Amino acid sequence: MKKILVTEDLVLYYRTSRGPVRAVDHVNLWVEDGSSLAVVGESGCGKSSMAYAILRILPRNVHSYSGKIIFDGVNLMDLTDEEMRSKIRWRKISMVFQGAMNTLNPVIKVGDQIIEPLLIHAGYKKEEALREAREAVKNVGLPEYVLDRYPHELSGGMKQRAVIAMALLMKPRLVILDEPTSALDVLTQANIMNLLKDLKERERLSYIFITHDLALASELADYVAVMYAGKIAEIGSAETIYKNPRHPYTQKLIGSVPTLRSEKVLEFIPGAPPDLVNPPEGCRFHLRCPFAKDICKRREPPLIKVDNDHVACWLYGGE
Amino acid sequence: MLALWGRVSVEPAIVLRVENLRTWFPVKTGLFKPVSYVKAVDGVSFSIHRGEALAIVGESGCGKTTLGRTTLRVLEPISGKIYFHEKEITHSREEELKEFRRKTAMIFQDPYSSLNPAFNVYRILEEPLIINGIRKKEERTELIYKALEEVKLNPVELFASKYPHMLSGGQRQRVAIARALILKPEYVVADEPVSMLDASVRAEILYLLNELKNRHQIAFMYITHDLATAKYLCKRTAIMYAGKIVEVGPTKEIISNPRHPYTKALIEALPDPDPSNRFRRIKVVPGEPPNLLNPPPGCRFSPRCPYAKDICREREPELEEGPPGHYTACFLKDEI
Repeated sequence: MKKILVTEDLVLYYRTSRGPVRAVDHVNLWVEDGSSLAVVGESGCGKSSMAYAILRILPRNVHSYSGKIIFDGVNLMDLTDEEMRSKIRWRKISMVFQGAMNTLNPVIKVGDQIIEPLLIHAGYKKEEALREAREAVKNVGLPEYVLDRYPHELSGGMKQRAVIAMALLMKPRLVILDEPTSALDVLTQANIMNLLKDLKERERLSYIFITHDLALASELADYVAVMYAGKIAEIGSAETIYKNPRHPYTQKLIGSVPTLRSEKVLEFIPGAPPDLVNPPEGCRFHLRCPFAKDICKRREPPLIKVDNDHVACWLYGGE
Repeated sequence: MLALWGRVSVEPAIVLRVENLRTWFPVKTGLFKPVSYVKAVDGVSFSIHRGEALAIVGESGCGKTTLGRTTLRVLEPISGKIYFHEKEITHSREEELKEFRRKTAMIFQDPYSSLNPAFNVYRILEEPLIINGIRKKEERTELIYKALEEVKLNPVELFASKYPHMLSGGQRQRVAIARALILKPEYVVADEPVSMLDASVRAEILYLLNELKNRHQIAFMYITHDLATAKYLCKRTAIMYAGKIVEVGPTKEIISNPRHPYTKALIEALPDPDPSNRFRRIKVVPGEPPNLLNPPPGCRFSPRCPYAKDICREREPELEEGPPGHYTACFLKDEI
């Protein structure tokens, strides 16, 4: 299958008084066209930073930002900021931010906020834009009247749908979803997951779905990338990651998820993820890894292909 | 008779019991309008035995935190009764509650905001000891080190000297647990104690809570939105919806044989990690939980319930026992 997005050695370090924070550290991942890649990892592993790096929405304290981001054959790193803004962001790749429903401006009607990308990026007149917006909200299962409402008049689920409508307004090919349901109730979350599945089929979208919740990730993921301490530990099909994970971190992480329908003894990983200012030498997981060998302490494992999947672990060769 | 004797002797004592508890918050809607009430907890009854953990499971805004706080008399109910060791404390004044306060404790959700950042761990754990009049410094130090040992923060001297910002989320939550348990409470409310923690440390904290509950035979209320974690800690679970308990019974049974339509919808919506999930569509109920200022008449779930009949909109269902120990508040529980 065609890959719609490939990152090669993507790096995003932040500058702090203690030294650079290696939030995204030589990340290689890819998204097959029309499929969804779930990026899972614990808080602070760099998964949101990775999304910001792809869209080039960077804070001021960037220490280094490099690598290749190949979208549809074009290296986004070669584009100017203006080209990123006018040609890529929102038009080709859009994003639903974490807690986005709470970032709606409380004193502006929802409709006027939804059409903003059309006014800014596509030069629409307000009337035309509102016509488009009516279609867009219907598409996410909302009644038209929400356009005339203020955010506080809508429930959490409705606001989240409005934000998704906004992300889809310019018919992007790839949508980055950063914890799109984290502030919602279980039943509302289930509603939104159904919607995201429908939209993916109907609009032939590709997703990058960022979440810390492995059970939720399985609702959407065709492929899963597991991040640990700024790096990809393992990337593979959902079947491999959930049924036969290879990386010891993935194994433990899957083992730590409580399940409702089956009995299992929960696992946990002693210790805490490393400080990204001063990560350990060698494999970043070796201090917590039950299988760590000598080489794991000295050299960083490359991401190597095993069968149809990829894993960064010395247990699977790579020398 | 002998058999009856046996049964009575194995049943541990009831530590906390509440009857028809109502905690309403007054809201003024206008200068000359009558005060209306947010009915956060509206007619809840249950009891918790020594060494038992009861899970209160529900979505945000269903009143589960209010319920937990009311049982600790952090909030005062407007009606109903709270008994602690069969002594009524519903409206006791603060000076009468001294002993109750010492024998109860709470663990909060967010270990990043529940610990004073200006205090080191020693000082954080010393606070409840000072308040409860343990005057001798050596005695306090001994209790603090023992509490740290119990939550496995070794070496204890090292951890006692640290400040919260030097600890990871899991370590902070251990400190919060140590603080809650340092006075050997008999009843502990844990409000979402693991929901802010990462997956890899969550299980560790659940195991620790379970171990401490068993060792000290604590009566434990575990408030959560996550039925899957409740399964690992609590033999019994109560499902709350819009201020009421709609179903209560053995946790495993509620999961495998839910009888209330709300519980059914909740379980359907909770995914297990399974790659085939992406091919399914979750059966969802429409709508949102009701406004607790003005809940619907009859069963509070009836506006969203796919099975609702006329009776559901007219009368409120009571909790009734079906399978032994499994109570459901639904008129249609035997039909659906």
